[in-house]
Amino acid sequence: MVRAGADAARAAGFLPLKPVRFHVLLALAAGESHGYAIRQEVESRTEGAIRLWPTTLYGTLSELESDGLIEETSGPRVSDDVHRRYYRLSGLGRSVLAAETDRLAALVRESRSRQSRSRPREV
Amino acid sequence: MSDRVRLAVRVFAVLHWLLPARYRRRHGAESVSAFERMAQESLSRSGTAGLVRSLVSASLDLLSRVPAEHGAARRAESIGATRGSGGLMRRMDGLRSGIAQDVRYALRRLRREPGFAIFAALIIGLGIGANTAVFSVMSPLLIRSLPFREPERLVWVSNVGRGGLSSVTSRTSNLRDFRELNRTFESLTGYFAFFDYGSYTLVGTGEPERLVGVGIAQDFLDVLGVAPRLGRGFVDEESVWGGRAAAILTHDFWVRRFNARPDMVGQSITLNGAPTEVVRVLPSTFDFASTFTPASHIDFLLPFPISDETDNWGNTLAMVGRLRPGVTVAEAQADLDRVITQLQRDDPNRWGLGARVTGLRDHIAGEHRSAMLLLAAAAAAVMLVACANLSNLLLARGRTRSKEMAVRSALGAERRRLLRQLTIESLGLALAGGVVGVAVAWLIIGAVAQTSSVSIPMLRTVSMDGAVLLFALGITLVTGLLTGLAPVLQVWRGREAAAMRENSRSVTESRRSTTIREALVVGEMAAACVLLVGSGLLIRSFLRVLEVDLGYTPSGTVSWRVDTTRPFENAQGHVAYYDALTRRISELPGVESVGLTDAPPLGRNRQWGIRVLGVDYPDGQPSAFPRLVDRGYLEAMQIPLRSGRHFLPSDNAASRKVVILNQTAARALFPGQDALGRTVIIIGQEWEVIGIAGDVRHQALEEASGSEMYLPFTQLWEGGSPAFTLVVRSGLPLPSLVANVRGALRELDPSMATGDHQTLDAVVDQAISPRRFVLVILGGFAATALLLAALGIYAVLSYTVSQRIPEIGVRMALGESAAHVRWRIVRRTLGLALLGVVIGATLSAALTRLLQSMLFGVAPADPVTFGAMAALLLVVSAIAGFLPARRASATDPVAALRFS
Repeated sequence: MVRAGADAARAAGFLPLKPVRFHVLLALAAGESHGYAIRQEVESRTEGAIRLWPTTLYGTLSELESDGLIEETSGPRVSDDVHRRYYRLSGLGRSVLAAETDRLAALVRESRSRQSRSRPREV
Repeated sequence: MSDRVRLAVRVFAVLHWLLPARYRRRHGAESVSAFERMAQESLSRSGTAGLVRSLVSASLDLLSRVPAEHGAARRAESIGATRGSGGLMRRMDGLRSGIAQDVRYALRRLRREPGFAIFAALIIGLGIGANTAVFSVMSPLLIRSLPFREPERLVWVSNVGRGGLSSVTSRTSNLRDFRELNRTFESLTGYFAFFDYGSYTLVGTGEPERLVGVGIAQDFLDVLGVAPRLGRGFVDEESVWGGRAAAILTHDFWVRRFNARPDMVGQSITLNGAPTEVVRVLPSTFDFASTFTPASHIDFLLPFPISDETDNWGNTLAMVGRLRPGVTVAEAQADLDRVITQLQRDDPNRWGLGARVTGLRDHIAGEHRSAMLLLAAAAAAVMLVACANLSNLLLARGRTRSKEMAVRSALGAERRRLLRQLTIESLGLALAGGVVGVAVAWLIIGAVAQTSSVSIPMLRTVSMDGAVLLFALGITLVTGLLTGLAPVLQVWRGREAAAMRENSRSVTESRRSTTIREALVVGEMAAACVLLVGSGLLIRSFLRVLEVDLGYTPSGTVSWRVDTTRPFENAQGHVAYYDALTRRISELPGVESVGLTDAPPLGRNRQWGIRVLGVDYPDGQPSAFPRLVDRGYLEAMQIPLRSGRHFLPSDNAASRKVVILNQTAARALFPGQDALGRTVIIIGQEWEVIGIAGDVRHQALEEASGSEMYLPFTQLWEGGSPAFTLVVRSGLPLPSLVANVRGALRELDPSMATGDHQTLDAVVDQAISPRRFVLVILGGFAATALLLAALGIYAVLSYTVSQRIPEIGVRMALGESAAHVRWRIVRRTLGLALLGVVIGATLSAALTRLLQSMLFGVAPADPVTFGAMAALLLVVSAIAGFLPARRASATDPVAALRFS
């Protein structure tokens, strides 16, 4: 319980997340994955709006790792590529993702309510 | 994997070397293999274009991450190390990572707006390209030191006359005496300036070839300090009258004819039938022709004896000296004046004494200096227009940017930081422009170095060297700072707070920034106007030069150098040989007329004394340009005979000597009298004037003819085999005429080199080449400036119109007609353009005086040119303004009102 609270406090320090970081964390939320698979998932989820070119992709993974948001794993036993590194979310990473999701949700709520209030005036 | 994908992957992999080792070790292989899959997908989805797009995007992505990755690597390495070190280190580190962040941010912005980035790079690139190219052309002439040892000590010593080559060259006895009596020169030397009168035919392997060789004094290359590429200099036995034949090959000739064989030194070649030893090859850095006699070509150097025999030839030597250390040109001049006074006192009858000392570089740059400076000024004007244009674009973006700046500033970014950000952005644009500019300059320089027909010195040595690249870099940085100035000033004045308050939609652009932008456009217009007026005046001068009455008709005429190596026993043999030659050529089908001369117009020149029998000339003997011709020459050139008769076959060595004068000579020698039948003294002999011919522009198209005299070559043979130029007039197409004449010449004299022919039109063309060279470059600059100024005015008005759509909507809703809206905007355009033209014309009126020396037949304040260029500018501006005006008048008032 204490640990979770400390994580939440640390997580707040990472907000707001850059879109690229958010999407990478989101891609890893489902379980461990490698760089290229992360790229494909981000691209299909954003319908091509965010394309992760290699240097940004691996650079971001490095940053997230050194910030302690993700961890490298040994990966599946059978891998088709010896180069591949596999990553999963760390506890901190999970907290950061949750906190960012809450922040975005609050923003969306706020935005919706403002628009519905201002709508009649538009005519 | 397809070859295309493999190539793209390789390029991407190579770029990884820009990233820190830490990244490469950890992610390099995976990153490259990820790119390979992306590249394959792109190729199969959208073909090569898709592949290229992927490569460009991935490369830009990599480049934009370079600073961040290096920062991360440094932090990882020095994580405990910097903790204990001093504040300065930490601040430096902070600065570095801050700049890295700014660079990354700038790159990201540019990537997001590729259209803007490309447009800006092109604009800046044109300016930088123009300046870099001009710098490289003027660099060998005015900036780079001459390719000699301590070139600042080298001087040119000419004679003091005006006119032909004879009046600026010296007798070899002058050189001997100057050498002996001077106190300021370390050494004095020279070359035979009339080398073009003689020529050499190389026989041996391949076709006989006519070559040009220049005689040099024994120590000529040592005085200049030209190190040999291979071999040795001329020795004493080779440098005396009738000495052993030897030759020094120029680098070009050595490469062209002998495939750069290193064993040529020591070999013997056959020149004019005599075995000649090749003693040396010149280095490629020393191009004799391009340095001393531009637009000619020289194949080898020969020893030129400084002896009594060559002294008898009169003024023939071009002198070069090396001053003692610390001696100035003025001191050397005073010294030679003293020597000349002494020599004249010792021998009052001595003629041809005189010396004018100029720095060698000044001599070589000579008349071209002003043209080069003009081009430099024009290039600078283009640069200013380009900068103004880009500033304008940046300012237009500034409105959106100023909101971003306001937000960043509100979030705590220091003003210094924002300024750095903006500066780095404009530097980034300028660097991209620099790359384009270097490419543009590279193309121009390549074209310039290829031209051999332009008689501007050192043009062939123009190249893209370190100095040129450094210049390009310097001008790029200056441009970056200059164009960034306007947006930076905007932030500096604290406009971000105001921007924050502004409502993003309804506010129109503030008056101040509109004024700045319109002022920039007016400035562009003014600069374009100056360039247009300048090139307009040069164009009119050029046309005037083309209209000049040459005194002969060049079109339809081809000239050949005909040099026979055949020795002649006597004058009859000599005359018979050339009679047979001209008769054979005139019998060819399609040939209308044939003539011979030793000095065709716009080529060689020399002067001989001439006086009227029984007249004294206390103010000095008059002189005239002699032309040795045959009896068909005047007709072949279509030089009109004003009175008297042509030469006849009976005018031979045995008969009375006869001469035809031109009108200027006849007027000068016999003012108010009839010259026909009178006797003149030329080279100590009596000649009867039998005809008066029309004047010919012989020295330059811009110069009126001097006194000329035509002498029949049949009466002047002094032994040897003098070189002639054969002039053939024919209506035949050039290739068939050339083939026919060459065939006939070879039949007559198999050892004659027949490749050296030129149409007289080409000769005229070469004479106007420096004028055209300057004109083409300046015209190009003016056109570029006009285009940029038009783009500038278009951009400003488009932007203003887009800002005023709501206002226009209101006006139209209140009943203003579309035509009136259009007219209002075009009027605004014309107002700006007119202001630019007025300022530009005023500047031009002040500046065109500097052009005076390059104008011909046109006044610097030529109203036609000024009027035409002002009209051109106004028309182009009206067109540039009409497009946004049409868009504005098409505004739908209802939509515009709803929008607001």
